[in-house]
Amino acid sequence: MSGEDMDDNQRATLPFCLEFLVRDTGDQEDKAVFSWSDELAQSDEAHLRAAVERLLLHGYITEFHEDTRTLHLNAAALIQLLTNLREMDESLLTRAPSSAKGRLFQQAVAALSLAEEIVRTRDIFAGAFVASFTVEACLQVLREAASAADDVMPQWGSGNGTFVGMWVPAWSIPEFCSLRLSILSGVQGSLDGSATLSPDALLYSTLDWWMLVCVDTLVRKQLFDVADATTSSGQSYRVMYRGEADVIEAWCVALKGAVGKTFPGDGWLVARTMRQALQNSGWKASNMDDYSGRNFYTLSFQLIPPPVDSTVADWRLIYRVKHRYFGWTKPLADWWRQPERVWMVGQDMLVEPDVWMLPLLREAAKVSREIRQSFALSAPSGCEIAADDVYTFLTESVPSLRALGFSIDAPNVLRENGSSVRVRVRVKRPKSESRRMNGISQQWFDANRLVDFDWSVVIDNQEISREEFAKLVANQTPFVQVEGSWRLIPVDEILRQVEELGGIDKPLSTRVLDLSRAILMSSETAQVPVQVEYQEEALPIEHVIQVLTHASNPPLVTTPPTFRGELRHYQQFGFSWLMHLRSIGCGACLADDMGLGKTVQVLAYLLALRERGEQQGTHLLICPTSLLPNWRAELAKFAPDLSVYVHHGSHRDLSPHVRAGESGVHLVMTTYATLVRDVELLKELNVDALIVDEAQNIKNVDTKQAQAIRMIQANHRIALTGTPIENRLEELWALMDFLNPGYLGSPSWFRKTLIEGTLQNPSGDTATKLQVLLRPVLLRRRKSDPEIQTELPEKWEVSERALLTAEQAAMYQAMVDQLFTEITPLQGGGMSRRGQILATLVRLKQICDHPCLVAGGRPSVQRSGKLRQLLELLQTVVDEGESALVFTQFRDMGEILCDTIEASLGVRPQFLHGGLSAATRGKIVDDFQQGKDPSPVLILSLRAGGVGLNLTRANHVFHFDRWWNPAVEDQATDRAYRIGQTKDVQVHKMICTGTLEERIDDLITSKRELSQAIVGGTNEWVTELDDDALRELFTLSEQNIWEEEEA
Amino acid sequence: MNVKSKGRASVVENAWKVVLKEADKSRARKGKQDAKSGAVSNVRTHDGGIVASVKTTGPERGTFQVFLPWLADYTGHRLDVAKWLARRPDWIAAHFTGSWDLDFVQFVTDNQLNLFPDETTWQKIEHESKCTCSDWQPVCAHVLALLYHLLASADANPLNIFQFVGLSVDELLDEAHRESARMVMAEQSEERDVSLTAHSLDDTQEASARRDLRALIAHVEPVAPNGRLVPQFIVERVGDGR
Repeated sequence: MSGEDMDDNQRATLPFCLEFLVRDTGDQEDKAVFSWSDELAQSDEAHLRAAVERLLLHGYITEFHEDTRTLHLNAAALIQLLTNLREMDESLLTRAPSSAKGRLFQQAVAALSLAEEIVRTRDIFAGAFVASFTVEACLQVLREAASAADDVMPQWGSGNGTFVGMWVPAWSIPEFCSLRLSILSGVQGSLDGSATLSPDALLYSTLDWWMLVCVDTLVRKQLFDVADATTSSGQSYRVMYRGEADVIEAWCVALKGAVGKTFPGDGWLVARTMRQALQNSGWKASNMDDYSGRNFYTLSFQLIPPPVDSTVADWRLIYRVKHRYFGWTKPLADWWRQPERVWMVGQDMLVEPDVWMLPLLREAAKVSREIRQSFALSAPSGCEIAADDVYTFLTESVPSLRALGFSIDAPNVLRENGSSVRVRVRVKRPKSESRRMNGISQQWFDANRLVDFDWSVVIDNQEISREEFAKLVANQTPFVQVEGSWRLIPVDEILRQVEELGGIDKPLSTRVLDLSRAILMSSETAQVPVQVEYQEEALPIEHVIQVLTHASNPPLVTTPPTFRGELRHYQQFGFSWLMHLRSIGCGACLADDMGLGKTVQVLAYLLALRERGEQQGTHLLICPTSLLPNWRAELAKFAPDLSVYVHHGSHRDLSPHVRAGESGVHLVMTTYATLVRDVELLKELNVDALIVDEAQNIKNVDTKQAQAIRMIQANHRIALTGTPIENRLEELWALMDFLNPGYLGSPSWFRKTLIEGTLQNPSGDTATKLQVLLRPVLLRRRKSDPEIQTELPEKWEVSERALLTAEQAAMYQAMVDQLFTEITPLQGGGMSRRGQILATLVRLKQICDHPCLVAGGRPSVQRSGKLRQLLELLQTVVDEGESALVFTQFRDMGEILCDTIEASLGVRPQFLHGGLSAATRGKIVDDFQQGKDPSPVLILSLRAGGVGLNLTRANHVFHFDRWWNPAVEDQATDRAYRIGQTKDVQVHKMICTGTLEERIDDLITSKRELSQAIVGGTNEWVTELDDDALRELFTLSEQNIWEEEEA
Repeated sequence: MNVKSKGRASVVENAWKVVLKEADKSRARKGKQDAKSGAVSNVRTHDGGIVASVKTTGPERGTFQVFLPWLADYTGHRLDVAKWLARRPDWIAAHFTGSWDLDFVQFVTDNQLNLFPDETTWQKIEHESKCTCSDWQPVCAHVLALLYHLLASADANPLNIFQFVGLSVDELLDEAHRESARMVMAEQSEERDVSLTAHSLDDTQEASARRDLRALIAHVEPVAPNGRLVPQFIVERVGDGR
């Protein structure tokens, strides 16, 4: 064995020892005995010699005999020696000591280091002790003074006494207090490192005193002066007690220079000053004498995932103690192995740590079921967290535990910023499709074609296949390892997303439309976005899906030249949107507000198809009977080039009009009722565009008309409706089922997934999802939309055309016949021609309003086409949450309106007419205007309601019958359209088609300026007409009578 | 479920009402007052009962030695009690936090442990309690002071109730811990400890901590010295640039 080896072996243990001979009383000097073993390793011997030489040099000792193996030193000399040795040998603290005295030597070195830090951070104060007090008593004084509530300091009397001045560590910094515990623990442990039974009080005070002495000595070395904060700060003027200045001055002197200087002073004054200095110190017994570690340790929890290839899926939670400042930690399992209630953790010996560990565990048990269960069993050191519960534990228990101040060491499984989870969808073109369709048509794809696809889950950059994910779900292990760390997968979230893609194990083939729906349903969910990839051959599908998924932004199509008129911008957009959806074979629902011109958008669409030669058959338009006249009027006005056949009435005959080729009409119009009757005939028709007006008529799938309409095959389906369908969600499903079957899934899916959530929270996520889903296939513009509003006139007039019922038509015809048989023979005699004409004029108008005004009988709705029309329109107004004024010139008609509106809307409107007192009229107006009147409709007689009233609550004005003087009508209209009106006002002029109402309306609208001059506000001009002109004006033209088929 | 014993809601004192109602009212009041003001000290078990010093003030001031008999003698069952406690660390935790665990009360009641008094208790106290005072009443204010002191201590720390049957709580806790260690060691001799790797990690931590004690606290910022007399250091003067 070489000498060097032996040297190293010897170096393994520390040869130095220390024994304190602490002074008895405050005014004596500290002494210590430093010794070493007889066989020193070479390096230790060299260090010892060098250190001692420095002591000799500085005069701490006068002589040195190595063979005595002991040195008797005072505190200053010992500090110097330890400092020297520490500088030379870094292993001083880590080498195993040879005896208890060796351990004391090591802790004395550590304590010196701590004292140096205390002095560096100035965590000190000026102390004083009665000179004759023992060290024990001095330490006790500090504890009691720190906890004292008042100026009482029982240890010494208030008379004059002799004191020793000393600098004392304040222990106000918890890290220092903690290190003190380590040092005290270190002096105590048995040689094998295990904990001993109970703290040695005498050793503890010896070390506490040693640190105090080190601090005192070190401060004095660096001290320049001592200042009295009371006088130097000058912040407040205070009268000193008698003799106070002298005591303080003497004290200051004792704190400078050599240690152990005494000074005379008044006991009460000294005690008072000490007590003030100790107030925020750590000298309280609860801090200094607590060896359980409660001030420096806390419980921490370590969550351990199952081993990667383990069959066990449960996670484990390990309970540990952890140092608050130094990070030392040990599992509680080790505590339960200790036979005594003493535990070595880090450098500390914790005595009865269960007094705080168990209460902390009790706190933790309150927020975690798993911890609670483990806590009622012996020696709790951890618990299992079932794989199913890990997520809940991480998201609920962990935050609660953290809030209670526990530290949690868990793998970073929760997604934090930076990491992402998404569903990746790969879309392929089905093999069969690609072979069959290739090269045949650019439009092999449309919304109803089948596509193949597959999906996977991507976490950061790691992809988990559908099969792997399914396994994960089946095993209930929602975790994967990504780049070495565990990640929690939001399984429920993903399952919800892929549910739209057919779930985990459904066949992965679907219609483009359904795929698009799935993507739409998911894209708004921020948590797990769906990312779609298209294989090259499937790129056209991407186009379709882009069209569908992105908020519709169709290429604008120019207005067809054959369209007689001008489209507003939003109308042009709507028309382009119809063309666009047609291009991918997707049904469209145009749901603009009433009055925005849905009809003209459809007409432009039909004309464009004709011009482009894209019409492939006959267009079929289905609408309620009441709307036939309107459609006809609009067709005549805007699209006279389109040939139309109205398949309606008892003499209907379809076949001559739908012959193939040029001889067939462009458009067949029919009613719902006729459709039901003639469905067998109509379904044979080669229908291109199937347009359904007032599509709410097919809202109920069980009705005959809804079933009939589904039997009609068509290239493109368009539904028109003005009612706010968002409020009737199930009807929406029926509507969509007609346009794009399957787009909203099954009725139960739709109800469960979309309706319930939307109804619960109309502005929540589900509602948004529904909107997103509908956006591509449903275009709805409101009159109130700002960009629409700029295009609308503030007041605009619409002619609402109504059919006559058979009864009305017969009476009308009879009345006209009677006039012409009577006026010719009686010209100039009997009742004047003028009188007869005027009387007939009034009668005809009354017949148009309601036959009972002339013939009597029940004022039922069924008898008047115009009344039916009005009620339908009012329903729409009310559905939109708006209000209307209805003007009539016949008092009896006003009463009938009140009755029928009450019957159909449930609220009886007020009727403002000339027969009422001024006060009543004022009240009616005020009530309506302020919304006190529950009815959204107000009936007015034209004369009574014509002037001086402010009725801006209403933004719809209905003229139920016509006053030939536009000025009178305008005046009435202005009740609603005046200062204070915030909405645009829509004026509806009710006109019975084929009657004098329509003809006079034409006259007025065609020559508005002129007619005003002609008409001049009276009916006189009519009487001036010759018989032929009169006949032309009055005659009931051949037209469609409202057949009672729909009643 | 736990009941925090606080103020009026005291489990033990309520259980003792049956006994206390027999005591002389004025002596009971005095005893309770003295117990509250800290008159009772040096409480220990001795010869089948609890002895203590009671130091009273007022006209009959003095320090008296009192003796209160146990409710029962459990000294032979110390290990059994320790074993129950080892199985229920939550009861020990409740003891430390001063809460009465209802499970614990239930357990004591179900097993008919004589930790609470019964109708014979008053007679026992009358016959067996002793005091060095000269009161002619067998149960003097000093005995009652000790009793009230014990009741309050058991209300504050439930396991102290074992004092009434001759068991020291500290010894019970030590023994319960030894029992836990025995159980843990018996289990672990069969299966290796899972936290073994973590344990060796702790050891490395300790070794480096020993070397770098100063590094642990090097980050601590200086503070303003406490008190009126402020040291002025030489470095500060240099730093001031004077």
